[in-house]
Amino acid sequence: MSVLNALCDRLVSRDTSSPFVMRDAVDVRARETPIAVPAPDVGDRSDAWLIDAVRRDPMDERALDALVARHWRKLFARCRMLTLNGDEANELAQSAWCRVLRGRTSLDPERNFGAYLSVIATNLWRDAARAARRAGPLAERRLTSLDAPMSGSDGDLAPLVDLLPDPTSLSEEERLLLATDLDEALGRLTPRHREVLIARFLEDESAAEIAKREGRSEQAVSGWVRDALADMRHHLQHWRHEPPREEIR
Amino acid sequence: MSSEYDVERLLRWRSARAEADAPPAPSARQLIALARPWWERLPEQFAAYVERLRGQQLVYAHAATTPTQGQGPYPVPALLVRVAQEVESSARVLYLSVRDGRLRMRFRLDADSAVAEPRLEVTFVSDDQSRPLLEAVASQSTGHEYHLEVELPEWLESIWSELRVSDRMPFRFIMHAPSTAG
Repeated sequence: MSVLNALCDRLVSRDTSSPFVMRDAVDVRARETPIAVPAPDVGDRSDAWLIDAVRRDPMDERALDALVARHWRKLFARCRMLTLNGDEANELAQSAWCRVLRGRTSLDPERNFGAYLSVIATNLWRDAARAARRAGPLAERRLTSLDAPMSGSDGDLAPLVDLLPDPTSLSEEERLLLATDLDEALGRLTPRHREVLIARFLEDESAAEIAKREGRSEQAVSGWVRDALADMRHHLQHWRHEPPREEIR
Repeated sequence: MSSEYDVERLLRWRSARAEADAPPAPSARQLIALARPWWERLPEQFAAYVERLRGQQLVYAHAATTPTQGQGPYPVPALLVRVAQEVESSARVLYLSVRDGRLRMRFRLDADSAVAEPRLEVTFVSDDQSRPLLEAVASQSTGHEYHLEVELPEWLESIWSELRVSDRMPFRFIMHAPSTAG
């Protein structure tokens, strides 16, 4: 209330000749209840504007709220695809945001922020996966198999298109089963294959872009994608000839 | 009726489903609290670690008044914070440069310190400061060697600009994996 009183005093002293100001001031005092000053809505601002507000000192929390709300679901989904676990995905997504906040003053407002978040989350997940591999008793074997030449049981000309079910034609129970099977199939991939598959098909990165980021040749990345797809098809093959829902009923 | 769906489209479908199942977004306030440095969130733990490093420093002070022949620089006491326990160790600074307000450093952990992490969060602490001097992320170069580069506060830049790798370092390390840092 003291802030409101001070504001009223200022208004009164600034222009005592204005009945408008006086009336408002008196009204405010008379109500004796704090007025919630509506915060300007920043939800429709661009990413660049919000990032700029997050960079400043003191940080604009409304801008951060808006930025988090805008990017949360997509970031969570990426983390879910990487970790294959809801709780771990939540933790990973929050860690990515923490990393952003710790370096907020150096954020670039012109950068594709969604992609930036995704890269941070992927790097955190990759580090954790790498550390887990090294700590595990089979670390050396796993690493060797990651760098092994890409033979691919389907050969070099393995088609990308496969006969797999249309999720929209399945019942909810079947969709749940399919989602579980997809998670299992992703879980059986090596971390690198999983990461590359997600980057290629969910982040829409080209093999050349992934190769540049990974410091590998484009052919090597194409080989990883091919092998990952072949593995996925293999793990999902029992879905190929499932009868459509109508027949099940 | 079912239709042909390739793996890519199934992945997109799975991702959309994960998006739909996302928990509520954390608030700005929650994230700001989470992003606070670990020593602010866990002040008692920080104090305990510093105390432990102080004890370690005394041991080194008695054991090594000069760099051991053939072993290189003075050992810097280091505490590795692992999931299950903390491990006392040491590191040797192999390269150190303070220029343009930035610290560039390469160090090697003692051979006994088996660290699986490709990146470490390194907190620089001293005896006479209640807060850390600095925090940086070190990346593994090879084997037990790590390197880091970090912006230095002005007051540290002026003090550390004269440091050489052969000097006794005015700091100790608390190291932990980024994944356990929250």
